[in-house]
Amino acid sequence: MECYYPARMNDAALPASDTASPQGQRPAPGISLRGLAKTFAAQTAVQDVSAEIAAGELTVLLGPSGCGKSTLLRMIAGFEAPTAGEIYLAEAPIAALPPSRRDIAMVFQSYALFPHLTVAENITFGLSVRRTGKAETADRLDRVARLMGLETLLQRKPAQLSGGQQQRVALARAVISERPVCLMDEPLSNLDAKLRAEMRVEIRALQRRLGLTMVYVTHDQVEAMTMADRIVLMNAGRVEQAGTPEQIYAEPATTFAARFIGSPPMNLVPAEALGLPGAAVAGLRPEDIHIAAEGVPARIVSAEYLGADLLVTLAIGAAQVILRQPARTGLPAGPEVRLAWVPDALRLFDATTGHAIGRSPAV
Amino acid sequence: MKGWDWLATIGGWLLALLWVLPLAYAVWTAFHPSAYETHFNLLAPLTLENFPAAWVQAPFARYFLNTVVLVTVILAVQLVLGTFAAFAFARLKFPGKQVIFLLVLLQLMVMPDVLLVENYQTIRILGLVDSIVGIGLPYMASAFFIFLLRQTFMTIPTELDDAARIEGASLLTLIRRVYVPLAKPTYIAFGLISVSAHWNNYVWPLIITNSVNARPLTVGLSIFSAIDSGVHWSIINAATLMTSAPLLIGFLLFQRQFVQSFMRAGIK
Repeated sequence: MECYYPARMNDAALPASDTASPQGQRPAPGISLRGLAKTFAAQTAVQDVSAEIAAGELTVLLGPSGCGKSTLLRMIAGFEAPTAGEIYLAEAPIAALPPSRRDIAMVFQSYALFPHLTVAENITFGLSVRRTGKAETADRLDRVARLMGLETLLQRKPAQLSGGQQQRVALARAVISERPVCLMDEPLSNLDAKLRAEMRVEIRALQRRLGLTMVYVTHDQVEAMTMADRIVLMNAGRVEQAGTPEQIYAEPATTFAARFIGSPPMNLVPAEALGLPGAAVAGLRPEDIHIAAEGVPARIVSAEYLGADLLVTLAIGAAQVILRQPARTGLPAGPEVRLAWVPDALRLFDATTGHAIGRSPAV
Repeated sequence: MKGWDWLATIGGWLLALLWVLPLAYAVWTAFHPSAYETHFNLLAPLTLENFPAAWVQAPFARYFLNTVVLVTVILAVQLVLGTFAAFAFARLKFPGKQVIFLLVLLQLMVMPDVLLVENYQTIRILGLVDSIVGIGLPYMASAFFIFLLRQTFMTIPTELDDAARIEGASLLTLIRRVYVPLAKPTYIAFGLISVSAHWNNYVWPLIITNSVNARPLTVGLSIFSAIDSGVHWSIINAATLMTSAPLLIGFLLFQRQFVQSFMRAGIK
């Protein structure tokens, strides 16, 4: 399968406007969520979520498991009816429509391939349900199979495919519908790490090439950072922060966002530990701290060697921080060191609410 | 332990012998002249004459037709009703679902023979006495099949429902194109149980029928062997073999597939 990647990568490298929707007919609409809520019998899964999903962009719904991101996606798809709020697709309310009339395609976490049908029958299932003509079906199948590199697998059953191939069939089924909006529910969670990295690139390239509006659910912040045009970070049924990956990384709106994004995450320590006034929580990214001649005294606890980088864990009084530095810089001989940081990189959060202080939450 | 194994083997063979004895006797008499009914002789002349003799002495052709129609109609209605009921119990939400399902399960605990009189009255009120529909009606909604198929349907991931629904499949399309094909082993396994049960059913058809027009093979055969004592065992046994042959041959031919289906459907 590897041989397909270079070709598709080159396609993806072209400006999106040149190759956007070779299927060509309809421009992708945006989705607007306004005051969405979903309450199940026992608990509230989603409360008062408002977000804009821009046309032709890849928006990632990111959050820990149980944060309501999958419920939100299922509401957009139409599998769950919202308890409150409305969903607009290109300004038209769709919350009352059944899934099939929303003009939305979806790729499921388990791929949801029909085990008794061949790859070709799986891909064309929707077309045959909607009674598309034979000639047109064959034509579209041919095009999509070539796009996804599935030409040689069309007569196989799903059980005879590898995880990556199954994933590609699931994508093909979404693409062949020629629906301009595509929802993805943790599509890579069943793949191994190497394949996941490859599929990440492939899905992103496909989305750009077809100009799809894509909503992508994941709990993996690396996936979100590498793929997203915009991230909607969710926690406990609410939107914690929405913005570009750069915005969320640089300006986390809350301590939750600071902890969730980045590996290792932002260091959060009481401000007084860094010798700062006030009762706030101070946040510093590991790469923004360095060992210096002057600064806050600290003691080296341990060091983790990552090849290019070295992650050093330090104790400042009772607080611990992690520092990232190039591995070849080396460590001083003794455990007692002094720390300094890039002044611009320091973020302050309210100790009780966890909200960022002194900056408007980046949205 | 070795001694016990040996004993178990002997016991097994004895039981097998006991079980096959009536069949062996039926085969012996059916293929020999009536003079050898109770006179065992390995050199006795073989004959096929008992079969045509039995065939012309009673309307077996009509009985065969009745049984085939009966078994087919029962199975067809069972499959259709069972599919919808099982899908509803497995996947749909409706008020009273638990209670209705309990009532269906209750049917599993009632011996059919207990209901002979009650069923006869119902069929008489419906005016279906002495008809093939009348024989089949009490069996057409099979609680066993509904339960079995519901269990199978519940193992099908709901993501497949979602995938079909977002593509625009209606409930009927979903059942026909996703659920039924995925439950094929269950359908085959139940089909076998149903066909063999109703091919062999005797008491109920005996009660509800009183003419050649509706009588199935089992009833026809018993009447044939009872009406006059002049009938020879060799001819009765030839008729018996004839009537059970289709089922016997079918099972022997497809034994392997049947066992596989049973394993996959979870019936052991």
